[in-house]
This record gives sequence, structure tokens and C-alpha cells, in this order.
Amino acid sequence: MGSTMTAKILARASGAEDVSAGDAVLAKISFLTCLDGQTFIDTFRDRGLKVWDPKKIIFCFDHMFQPDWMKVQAVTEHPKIRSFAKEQGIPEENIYDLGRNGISHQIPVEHGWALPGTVCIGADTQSSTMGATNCLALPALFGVDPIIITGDMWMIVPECIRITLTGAFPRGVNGKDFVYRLIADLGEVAQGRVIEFDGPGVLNLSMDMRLAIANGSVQIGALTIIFPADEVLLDYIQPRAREAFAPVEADPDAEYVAHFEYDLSCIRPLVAGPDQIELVRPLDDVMGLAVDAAYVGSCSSGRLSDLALAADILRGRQVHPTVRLVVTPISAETYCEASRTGILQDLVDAGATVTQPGCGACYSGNLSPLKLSDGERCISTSVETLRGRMGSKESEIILANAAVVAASAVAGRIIDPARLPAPEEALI
Amino acid sequence: MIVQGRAWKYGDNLGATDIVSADYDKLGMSHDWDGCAKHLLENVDPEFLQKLVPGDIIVAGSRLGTGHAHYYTSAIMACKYAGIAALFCESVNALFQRAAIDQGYPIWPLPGIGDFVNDGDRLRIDLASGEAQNETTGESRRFQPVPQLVRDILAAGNALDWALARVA
Repeated sequence: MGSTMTAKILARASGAEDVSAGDAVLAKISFLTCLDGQTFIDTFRDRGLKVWDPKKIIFCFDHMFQPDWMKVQAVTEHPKIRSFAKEQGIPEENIYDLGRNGISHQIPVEHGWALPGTVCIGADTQSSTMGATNCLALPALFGVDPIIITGDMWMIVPECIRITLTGAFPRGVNGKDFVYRLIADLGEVAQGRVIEFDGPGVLNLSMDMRLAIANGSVQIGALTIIFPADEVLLDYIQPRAREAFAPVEADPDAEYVAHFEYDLSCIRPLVAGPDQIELVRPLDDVMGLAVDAAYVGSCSSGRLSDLALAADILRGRQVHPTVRLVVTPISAETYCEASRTGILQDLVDAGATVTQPGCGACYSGNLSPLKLSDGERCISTSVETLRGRMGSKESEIILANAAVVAASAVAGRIIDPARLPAPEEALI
Repeated sequence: MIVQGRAWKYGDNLGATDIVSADYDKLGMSHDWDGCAKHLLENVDPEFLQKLVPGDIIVAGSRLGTGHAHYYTSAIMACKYAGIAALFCESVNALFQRAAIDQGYPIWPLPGIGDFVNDGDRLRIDLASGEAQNETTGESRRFQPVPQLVRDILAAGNALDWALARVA
């Protein structure tokens, strides 16, 4: 029986000839990416510990935690990270501080840390995002400490499921809609397993779309998601890669516990929530619901293609006077690119508030001007619908793609972008 | 490595925020684990804390530990601080399980455990061999053993001390 991409990466990382699902292994990691709130710093200082290799740890300032009831707040945590890095010999350029910052699983992709065939570890929940680059990307969450003492991590080799893709998304549909489709379809099958993609449809997915799909792993219930290495990935990653790499591909007879096929041309805009992300519905089911707030951003949807999708809708239109539309680019690189290409201009012309890059309004503990109050409804591209996540427990979050969010911000109610009235003549 | 205690059974899809509600996020974010423990299973079984005796075991169904990982540590530490000896289940979210093992806390899938114990039965299980006895019904069964690597972490108390011992 042949090997999956997952088994090949774990065999390589643990120095084994081959590994099978259920084996306990110690896998060498290629680097660790941290968000800007880390409890391990206290532990390392209190106990006088040293990281295994300071050159392989990066910090990305993204959440900008604010409330004083949390252990970590940007005002104290950012200086703490800078001084910790100095103590440990972590190079200055490994701190993605303001001006170079962005979400902790986007930065490693843009800056060539997350490379095909490797094990990539992130402290953040959504670290599976990096799996778009043909790596095994895993969130370490609060388990960072032991990993950065030894540079390896214990793992039970997971089972894998295979999803074969054909076709291409219709216009106005993006990776986020496909994540909702998978949440609705796979839930229990995906639990604790790795989703491996293949098929001719992969080639029709841009890197932004792959990153958005891989980002949904935790919400789908999977351990992580891996994309194969094709020319789209290699063209993107080669000029960025910090070192040589060797992609992996699944053997034709690799063992999967389940196999699904999706024709991407059949995917339509979906919405998830409120309260439970598993509540996935066609856009039509929530059409017409009034919205008070709209958010384009977060690790699932703050990429250039999402911003462009919103800008296409907003160009020549105005955000409804009773709606606050906030846009948060995922990273400084995305912010610059959106500025260079005129996307930011379209957004602000329409009345959107564009913030500093990072996680933004997705979690109410972050620095963002968008907080929900009692009785409000927000249509958002972010990752969670949990009650209270974006502010008041008496508010509601419905998730959708960036085009639906932008169109709804204009209409003041949830609307299909295709049904939005044309921009005013005077503005054309 | 023996776990022995009274087993309390819950169903499928027992998520992290069922164990400690997201309403207590502030306690978790302040690392107030005793505080979290006072709200254990509050919305699932309001009587739970009254019947709980330290050393008891929770037996869940399939897909234990679903939900956003932000809430995992609160759920795990609440179980630990409430004195629950272990969580067993039919299947578990791998990230939730990993977070528990890293804390030196046994959360382990034992497929078939649901048929083997009834709510309130006394259970004894040797994690190294997988040998289990239901001391209430008198039945025995052999489950998949917990791998040595994982038992080493549990024995060390947590993954950090286990890692430090490896580089010492």
C-alpha cells in the first residue's frame, strides 16, 4: 500500500522509512510561527529555558489584544516579545513587527518559511492555513513549550481522507464558500483526519483560494489540510523560499479512509451561523435580514482577492448610512498590494473603514473599531460565529464571502451581489 | 499506568464549550482554572458537580472535544482541577487530545467503551496494556493500549518536563 502526503512528510520528519496511521512518532519541525500573545515566554523566563534553534522561531504581530482582563495585551506583550527575542538570540527580522506584520499563518507563506514537504507549526488555532503550500501545518496552541525545547513534536500519525477536485469556481464564489460546503458535508468524517486534495480542479485554484480553504480545517473538524505541489504553488513559492525544499505527492495506491469528489463549478455562495458554524445555508435563506455591521478580513478572508471582490462590488457605490463596514487586510504585503492596485481607494471611497493589518474584528479582544452591541447583526467574512465573539452576547454573526458582505453593506440587508442595483449613473 | 474510578457517561459531540461554556472565556483567558472547574458541564448536566468525587472518570461518545481550539485549555484544565482522573470516548478531536496530553492529562479514545460501561459503573483500566475491568458488572475487555511515547509524557507530568528530560 502506498503513502499519503501526510505519511510521507511524517516519515521524512521522523527519520523513518515509512509510517502508518496510528503510529506514535517524533517529527522534526521546520519552524514555529507565533501570534502576538504567548504564555511560553513567562515559562521560559521563569525556568531559564532556551529554545532549540532561535533562527527558526518567528513572531507575527496580528491580534493586538486589548482588554485588561486578558493575560496578554498588545501594550505589554509586544515589548515582551521583542525583549524575549533578544534574550534568546532570535534574529530581529524574525519579528514581523508593525509595518511588516500580518496574521501568523499568512506571514510564513508570504515570506517563504512554510515550504513543501515539511512540518510547519503555528501557535494559532488556524495554522492549518499553511497547508496550502504542500506542508503538514499543525496548530500547537498552548503546547508550544515542549516543541521549542527539542525542535520536534509527538504525533499519532493521522488517517487521511482524499478529496478530488474538478472544475473552477463560478464568478463571485471563493474558497470560503467551499469551506462552508465541506463543513456541511464532511463534519463527522473529517474529524481528526487530514484532508488531502488532488485532481485537475486544484490547478484552477489561486493561492489565495487554497489558503482560504486550508484555513477552514478546524471548523470542518479536520486535523489539517494539504494541497499538492503544482505549478501554481511552485511559481508562488520558489521566489520566496528561504531554503531548498522537496515537495511530496501521494502514491496512486495511497490508503485513504474516505474519498470524495467535488466539481468546483457547482459551488454557490453559502452562509454560516448565527451562533453555530455548522448551520450552513444557501444565501437565499437569509436574504433580506437587516445588518448593522459588516466585516471583510480575518485569516479566512483578508487576502488581496477578497479585498478585490469587495472593491468590485463597492466601486461607484456607497455603504448604507446605517452600516459600519470595516476592512482589515491580512498582512502588510496585502495592504501594500491593495494600495498599489487601487483597491484601497475603492474601499474608502465607498465609505469602508480600513484598519491596520492583522486579525481585526474577528475576536472582540483584538484592536478593531468594529464591536457589536446589543441587538446588532453583523455579516462577516471571519472564522467564527460564536455568540459574543465580536462583542455583545446579544448580537448575531452571519458568515459569508467578501462579495456578499460588501453587497450587504451597501444594501443595509443581506443581499445576493448579483441582485444589487447598478451603481448610480453619475458615478460611472 | 492505572486509572480507576466511577464513570459518568455523556453522549456524542461533547464539545469544549459544553465542558466549560464560552460564557466563562474570561476565566480561561485569566488562567483561573479553579474558576473554570466550578462551571464544569454546567449546561449539559447541572447536577454533575454534586455527584462528582475526585478520581471519577468521564466517558463520552464520538467526536469528543469539538469546537474552536481557543476554548480547549479551559475545558481540559477544568476537568483536571475538578479532580476528574481521565476522559475516555469513542473518538476524539486530535487537537483537543493533543492539548490534554501536553498538560499530562489523559484523554484517550477507547472504541467500544460506551458498550462496556453504564453511567455510574466503577471502571479500572491499565493504559499500558489496554486491559479494562468494569468492577460493577464484573466484565473485562482489552482495548488498544496507549503508546509508550504518550505514556512517557503522562508519566513526566506534562510535555514540557518530558521534553526537558530529553535534552538534559
